[in-house]
Amino acid sequence: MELRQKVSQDIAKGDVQAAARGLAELWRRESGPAAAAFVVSRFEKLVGEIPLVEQKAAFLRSFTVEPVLPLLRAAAFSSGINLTLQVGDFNAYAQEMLDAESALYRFKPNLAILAVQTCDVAPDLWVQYTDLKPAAVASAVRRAVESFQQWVHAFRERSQANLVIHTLEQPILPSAGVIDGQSAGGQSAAIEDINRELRRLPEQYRGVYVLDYDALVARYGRLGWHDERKWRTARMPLAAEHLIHLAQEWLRFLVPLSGRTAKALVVDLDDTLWGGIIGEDGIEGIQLGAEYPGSAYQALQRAMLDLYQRGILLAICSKNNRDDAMEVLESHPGMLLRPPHFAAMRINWNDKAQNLREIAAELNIGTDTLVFFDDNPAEREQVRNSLPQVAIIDPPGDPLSWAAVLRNYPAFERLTLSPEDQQRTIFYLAERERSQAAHSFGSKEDFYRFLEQRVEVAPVCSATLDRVAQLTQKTNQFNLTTHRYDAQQIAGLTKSPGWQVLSLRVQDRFGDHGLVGVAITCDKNEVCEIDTFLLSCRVIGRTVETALLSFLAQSALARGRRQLAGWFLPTAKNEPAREFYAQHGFSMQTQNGEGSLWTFDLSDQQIPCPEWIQLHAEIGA
Amino acid sequence: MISRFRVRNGSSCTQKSEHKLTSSLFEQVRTIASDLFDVAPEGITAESSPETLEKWDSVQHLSLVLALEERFHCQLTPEEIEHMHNIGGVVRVLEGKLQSASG
Repeated sequence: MELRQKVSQDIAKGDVQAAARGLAELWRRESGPAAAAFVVSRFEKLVGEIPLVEQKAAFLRSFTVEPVLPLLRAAAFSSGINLTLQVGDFNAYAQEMLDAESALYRFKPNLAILAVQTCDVAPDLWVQYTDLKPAAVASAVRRAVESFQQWVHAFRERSQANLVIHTLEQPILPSAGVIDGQSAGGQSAAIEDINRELRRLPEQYRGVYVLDYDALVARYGRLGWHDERKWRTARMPLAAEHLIHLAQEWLRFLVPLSGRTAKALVVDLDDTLWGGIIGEDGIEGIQLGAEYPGSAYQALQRAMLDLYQRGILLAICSKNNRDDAMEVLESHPGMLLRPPHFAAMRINWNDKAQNLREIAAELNIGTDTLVFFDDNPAEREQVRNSLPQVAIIDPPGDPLSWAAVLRNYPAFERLTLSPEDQQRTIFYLAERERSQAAHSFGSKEDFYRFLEQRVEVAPVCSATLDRVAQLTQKTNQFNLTTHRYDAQQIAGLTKSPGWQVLSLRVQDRFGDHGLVGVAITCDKNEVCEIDTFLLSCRVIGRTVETALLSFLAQSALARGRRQLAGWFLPTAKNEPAREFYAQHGFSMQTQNGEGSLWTFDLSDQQIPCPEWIQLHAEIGA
Repeated sequence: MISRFRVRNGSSCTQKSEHKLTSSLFEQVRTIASDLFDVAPEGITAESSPETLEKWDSVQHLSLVLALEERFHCQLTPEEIEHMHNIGGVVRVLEGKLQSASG
């Protein structure tokens, strides 16, 4: 209810952009019949205030579509389309299409949807099939096909509007039983004959498209799709849970017809194109290949390749060391996608909104034509806040379902394909080398505040010993010294005089990241030396590291130390940590073949904890 | 928007546990009715009916039935729908439906 109240308040305040975003968010969360009514009634108040493509759609139908229409309108509004609807009378569709003076043509639609059922357009094939001689079956098929041809021909003469025709659905159980499948002349074959002829209509007429209703019903299951009770009592043949699926199927035509298509899909890499984190797991450790679980990521890549063939640009936006990521892209045997498939790449440690701006600029397309796919909800939220015009896919938890999500995404639909579509990426590849845009950092503070991060620092204990040791073993990127310890060694350190082993836990508004950081220090006279300082890559770049360093400084001071000191030991992987000490006011004392030693004077300087982080310590500071 | 590929649970009624935990049945029905009939939730009581809510007509009644079926994963019979002459009746029908499904 809170989101509904916020939308109502935003409308009352006149903040139409916020209201539209809130409604789209509500629709993402609750795409069902109840929320549809709310979303439509509130969006109606925003018409004229926000940019919407106007569309007029006429329904020519033989069954009750009315309860689906609010869902279609809500989905259309959320895609930036204001859909005005007209619904014809039951079974008046033929007359409406044939009569030039009909309400259909007076309405002047941009789009008409011919949604008729097998039982209405070919009742003999549906109900009396077993009574029919083979010749009668053939003539029933011919009659149905000729009717469709006549209607479409008349429609094309009288209107410039696009026309979407439903195919005819197959019966749940063929009338003749299993014998229906034993010849080419069965009931199912007869209905398929009609559908095959319907699929020829788009070749004959411009602006005529076929929606494979039979395939749609089969996708969700005929038995579950059909609601016999509603059909008998209200001429409503769909079960309640499938209303949304019919609305979405219409949307897959409406979105490309309205020009609200996406031009590029921008994907993350770690835990998105492959399972695992390349910087941590290494090229041998990531999940990607023909066997499960790597096969789920291959299926996603295959779906992306299909989009690529459709002329949709692919791009990468990943927080990673470029060399690590490129090694996978170029040489991992499980990759179906290779660098030439990507029209633009941003593999760096900059914030993703900025990277998306650059990708759009490099590809010379608007940010409002980008679709962003990333497993990390915090990254998605940052983009949603900085670039509300970017479409964002919230991937379901299970990677096995991701390919289907891409395949069912309306903004990737195309109703026609030109040869240029398949060539599109090659053009951009030449462009990529040329434009190396300078990275300009925007203000990230609002994002940090939005995250509401809570950081807990605690001394290692028996419950956290294994995890702390594991982090020292596998953390490569944000790791200043890359000292590796096993659990025994960690336990030993905690008993050594002057040593402290601290663990760091991070939570934010999206949930608990768990134990994701370690700091190990050793007091020697006036100096507190930082032996280990590391963060899991999933919390890099959110100022958590500053909070932990701030805590180290405060607690060292409280123990009477005058100086913090720490080494930065460069490796092939820890580039993200290189500037850490310099950025926090440390001075470099010495440099040798292994690394550099940095110090910070505690008597006259402080390291403030970022104000957007709540720091909790289980030990006295 | 993302498609939701769902597994159907036959015609029996299964209430999602998240609903059970977050609010009472009445509150859930009230939210649905508030959406469909465009009335603030506070304006909906057990006595609210087609006589008191302007937008509760026969078309919206079908939408109400479909919204309840979608939310609670069930199919309502014509007899049950007949008993849904006000919000209190809706809640009673659903209570019976959900109990018989879990019992």
